[in-house]
Amino acid sequence: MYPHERSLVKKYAKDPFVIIGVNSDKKARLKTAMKKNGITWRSFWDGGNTRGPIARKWGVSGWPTIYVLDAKGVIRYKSVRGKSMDKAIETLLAEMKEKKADKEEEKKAPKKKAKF
Amino acid sequence: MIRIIAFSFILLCPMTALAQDPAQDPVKETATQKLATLNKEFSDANRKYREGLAKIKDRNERYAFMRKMNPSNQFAAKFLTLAEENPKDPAAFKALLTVLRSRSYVAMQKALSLLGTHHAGSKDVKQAFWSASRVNGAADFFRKVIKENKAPETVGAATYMLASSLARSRKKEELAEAEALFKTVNEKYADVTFGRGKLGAQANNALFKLIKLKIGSVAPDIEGEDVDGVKFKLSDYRGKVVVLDFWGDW
Repeated sequence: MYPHERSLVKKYAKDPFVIIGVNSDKKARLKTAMKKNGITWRSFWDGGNTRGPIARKWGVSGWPTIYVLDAKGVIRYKSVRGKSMDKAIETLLAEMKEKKADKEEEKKAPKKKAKF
Repeated sequence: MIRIIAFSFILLCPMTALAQDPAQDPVKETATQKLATLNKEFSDANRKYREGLAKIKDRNERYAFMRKMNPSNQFAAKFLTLAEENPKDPAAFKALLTVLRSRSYVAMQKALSLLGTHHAGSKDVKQAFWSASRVNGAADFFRKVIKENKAPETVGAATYMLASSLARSRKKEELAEAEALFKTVNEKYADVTFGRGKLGAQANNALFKLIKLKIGSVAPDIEGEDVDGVKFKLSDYRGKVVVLDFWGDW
C-alpha cells in the first residue's frame, strides 16, 4: 500500500488531490510508521484501535477501506485499489478541469460576441 | 411403578440401539447413529491433522500440508451424503450445519439449498445464518426462512441477514430492497438480540452506511485530530479530489 500511495502523492503533486487517512494504530506506532514509510499525508487518529469512533460510525470492518471523493465532497468510488484507484483519481481530476474550462469559456463567450 | 418402568424403558431404548453393532444391521442404522459415527471419524481425522501439522516447521511445507491433508473437504462430502439420504431428519440438519462450516464451496451450496428446502421452518435454523451468508444463494435461503418460519426472532434475524447480503450488491434495485428491509427490522424486530447485539442498533448502522455512504452521497463530515493533536475536518479539503483511506500499520 505505502509505495502505491507515495507514488500517487508524487504523481498528482501539482493537482488538487490529497490522501486523508483514518488510522487505527496506537499513536507511537503511527508516528513510527509515518517516519519509516515516508507518509507525508495527514491522518485522523482514531483512538488507537480498530473500534475507534470514526471507523465505527463508517461501519468499517476491513482494512484498508477506501473511499474516493470528488471536489464537492461527494462519494464517487468505493474500495478501489491499484490501477482502478489511479483511474478514479484521473477521472475526477479530468472532470474538474473540464468544469473549469467550461466556466472560463462562459466568461469569454460574451466578450467574443461583443467583438462582432 | 408402572410409570417408572415405562420411563426407564424409554430411556434405555436408544442406549440399546446404540449398543448394537451397526455393521450387523446396516438397514436399521438411523441417521442419528450415522451422524454420531461420522462426527467421531471427523474429530479423529482433525486431531491427526493437527498433530501432523504441529510437527512441520517449514512454512511452505505447512501450506502444502494444509492444502492436501485438511480433512474438511473430504468430510464435507460425507456429511452431505448423509444429509441427502434423509434430508428432513434432525440429524441431517446437524450434518448440513457441519457442511456449511467447511471450506468446500460446492458442498456448501448444496447444503444451503437442502437447508432451505427442508429446514427453513426449524426453530434452530438461526444457527446456520452466519455460515449461510458466505454462500452464493444466501438471499434465496433467507427469503425461504422469512416465508416459512413462525418464530418472530428467527424471521427478524433472517430479514436482517437478507438485507445485509443485498446491501453488498452493486445493483440499484437490490440496494433499495436492502434499505426497505433494514427499515422493517427497525420497525418490527428492533429488540431482537442477534449476533453482536440488538437488531435495531445493527440495522441503524447498516442504514447509515447504505444511505449516507452510498456512491453519490456527500460524505458525512469527519472532525478529529491528527497524530500531533491538531484538529481538522474532512470538509477542509473540499475543492480537492480526496482518497479517504482507513488504514493501519500491519
